[in-house]
Amino acid sequence: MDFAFSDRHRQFRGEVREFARTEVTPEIFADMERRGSEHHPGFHARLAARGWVGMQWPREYGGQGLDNLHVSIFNEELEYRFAPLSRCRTSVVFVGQSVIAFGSEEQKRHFLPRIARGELTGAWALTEPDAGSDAAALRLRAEHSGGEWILNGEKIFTSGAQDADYVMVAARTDPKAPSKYAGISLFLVPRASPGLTVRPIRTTGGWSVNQEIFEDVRVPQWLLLGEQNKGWQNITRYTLNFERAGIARTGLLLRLGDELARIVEGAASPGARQMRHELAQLRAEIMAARWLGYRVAWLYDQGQVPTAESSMIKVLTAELLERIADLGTDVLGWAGLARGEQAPMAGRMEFFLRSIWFHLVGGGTPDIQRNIIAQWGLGLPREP
Amino acid sequence: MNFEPNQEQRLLCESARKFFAREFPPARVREVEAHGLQAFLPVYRQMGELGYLGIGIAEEHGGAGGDWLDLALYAEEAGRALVPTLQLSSLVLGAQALLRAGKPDRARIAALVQGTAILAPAWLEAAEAGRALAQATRAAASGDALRIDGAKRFVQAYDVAAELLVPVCGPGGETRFVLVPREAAGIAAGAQRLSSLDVVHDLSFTAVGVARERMLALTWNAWLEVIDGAKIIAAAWGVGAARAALDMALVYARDRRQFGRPIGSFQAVQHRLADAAIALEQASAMVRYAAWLRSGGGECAREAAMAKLVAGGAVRRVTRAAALTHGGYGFMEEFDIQLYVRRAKQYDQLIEGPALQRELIAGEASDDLLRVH
Ligand SMILES: Cc1cc2nc3c(=O)[nH]c(=O)nc-3n(C[C@H](O)[C@H](O)[C@H](O)COP(=O)(O)OP(=O)(O)OC[C@H]3O[C@@H](n4cnc5c(N)ncnc54)[C@H](O)[C@@H]3O)c2cc1C
Repeated sequence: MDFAFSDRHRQFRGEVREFARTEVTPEIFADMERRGSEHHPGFHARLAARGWVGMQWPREYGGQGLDNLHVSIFNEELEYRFAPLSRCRTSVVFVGQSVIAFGSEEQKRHFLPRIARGELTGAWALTEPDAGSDAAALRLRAEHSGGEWILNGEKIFTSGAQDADYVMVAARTDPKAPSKYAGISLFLVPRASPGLTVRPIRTTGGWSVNQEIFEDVRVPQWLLLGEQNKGWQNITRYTLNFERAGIARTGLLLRLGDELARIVEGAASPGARQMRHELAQLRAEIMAARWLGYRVAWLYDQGQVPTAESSMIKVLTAELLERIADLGTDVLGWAGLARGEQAPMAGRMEFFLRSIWFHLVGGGTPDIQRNIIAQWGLGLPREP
Repeated sequence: MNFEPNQEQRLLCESARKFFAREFPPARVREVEAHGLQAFLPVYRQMGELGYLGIGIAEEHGGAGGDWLDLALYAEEAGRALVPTLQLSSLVLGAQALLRAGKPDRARIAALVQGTAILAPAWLEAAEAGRALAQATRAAASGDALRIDGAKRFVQAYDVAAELLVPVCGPGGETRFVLVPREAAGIAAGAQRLSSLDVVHDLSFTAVGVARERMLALTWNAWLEVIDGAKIIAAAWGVGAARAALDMALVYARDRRQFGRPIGSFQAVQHRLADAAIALEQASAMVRYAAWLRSGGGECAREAAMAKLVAGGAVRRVTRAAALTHGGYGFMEEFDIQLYVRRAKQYDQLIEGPALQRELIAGEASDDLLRVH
């Protein structure tokens, strides 16, 4: 065992920190606020120009061949500055990693370098109105006809579909299969496809997710991703784990833990003094979560795809974020409830508390994560 | 002992529930979010006509009669519908403070009770309510008038108020209360929008001239007793909101199906909602007890603090459980549950926040929980 960072990792941290210091500007946040989006194309392009989008992929596919610890460091340093990284998740982790794990050579050569250059962004559409936690109950239908696939149905809550170039869609290709888990396949669907309508759904976080309606959307055969009818196996073995490990935001926790310490130390009210022990508790748990996060990254670097641990880091970081935003708004009193630029910390404590549902529910609810940890990790039987 | 509301209380609650369901459905809540308190005033005036605003004020003073328990039970109905807490500002704090000061101006009270005028207490000087005397706002004699300088923070109902009720530090360092016309020259207001989308104001007073007779004979301690009473009603408002959120979650948990069965059949969902129910019933019992205590004229500072603390925590826990029950839909604007979630913490802060309640309770003698009234 050795918990030291290598010189390469240290140097990389320095580079990212310097970049974050100069490139994460107030204009970026103002611009996203204006457009009601959690994505900033210009900033994403600058990340791509540095070679950091898809850095964990092999060089032949446009990556840098870096390990997942680099990705952790990258996320930490940028999240510490609240940088927008949503497409580093949707495009790189959800879509790109899936292509790496079970895509064809042709798909890898086509998609990965484009994602890495920042030219192509992706979204991941699994959830349907009646298939949320029970995602395998999905009904969106894909029928084979004349060498292509015809998709009909509906998806909901897709993050980033409004400006994605491709949507990775889970569809039912064999409705007669003996179980709902069989007969599902994945497709990479151009968002501009005729018959595909994308509608925004406003969240209380101020940004929108999307509903997509598929009406006879034609998808060529080469965009079938992974083996036909084996989609669910790929989703649960790979995609959902990438997603859960990938959306954990330890860097954000580190920052908020520091901000909160400053607020608590600077506050004169008895209320703030009361919070010191809770703050200390949270800071300890945040640091521990960070090390669990590194361990998860390390497991991926060992070639594993850890299911229980990916769920653990997801639910742990989401719930820590909730607790810290809760405490932060408490310490600030009424000011903790104020929105916007003028509020303490530019209203970020209020914002994270208001939008905590994204962190808790996106990628699967806390109940579902706990079910997975209990059943896949601890080997307990399923609930009847 | 009897935990049943009496006949009159039942009728009051039923009529209030029907009234709010008809006149203030969630679509109106959204309208007020979009257009501000002005959009609420027509309903508020109706509340005045129906006598709701006068509950807890004796008929001899132009009120509708009824005691603090009646008011608390009614407040649960208002909270259920997420009715803006204007009544808390203008009546439960404002009018009660005027009555407490003695020799109230009949016409002023009547206008408040009818809902044709609004009184906005402006007493916070920091982002958190404390119990220290007003310091940051001072009044000095200037000829026949008073001159007020200073600042108040997070003032609710400022935008629709006719007058502000402002505690100030007098020349001798004593706290005095002044009724300041909202339109008085020298008041500058900065709006802040809260998580709930309510707008509150930070006010600054620069050489604001006010006639001497606008100073009230209200002491700081008397004001704190008014605060104690108002806390109970604020807590009841929160309990009502929590009850509505739990009801919505129960309906959703029965209807929504995943894995071929209602999500309400999963133990994870059941246990979370069961915990919510415990928090809610605990809070409701405490709040009603505190209200009853106050109705009888008993000393209730400790119970008011406990009621406020427990109820505030309950609203937060219950609305969280309710939102999680809704899965992703709990985060979408078009689902009503989010309206409750975004207000939870505000109910917890209303009048006085949880940190201060813990301080107050901690300051009490610790060996007498057995004490009964
Ligand atoms: C902001 C946001 C972004 C999202 N982005 C995406 C995206 O990009 N792509 C995508 O495909 N999806 C996305 N989602 C959808 C998300 O994955 C689902 O919302 C989530 O999986 C829950 O599904 P549901 O909303 O239908 O809730 P439901 O499944 O209806 O759950 C309702 C409640 O029942 C509980 N429950 C359900 N089943 C069980 C069980 N077996 N045991 C115990 N409890 C159970 C849940 O925990 C929850 O409390 C996003 C959601 C949000 C809120």
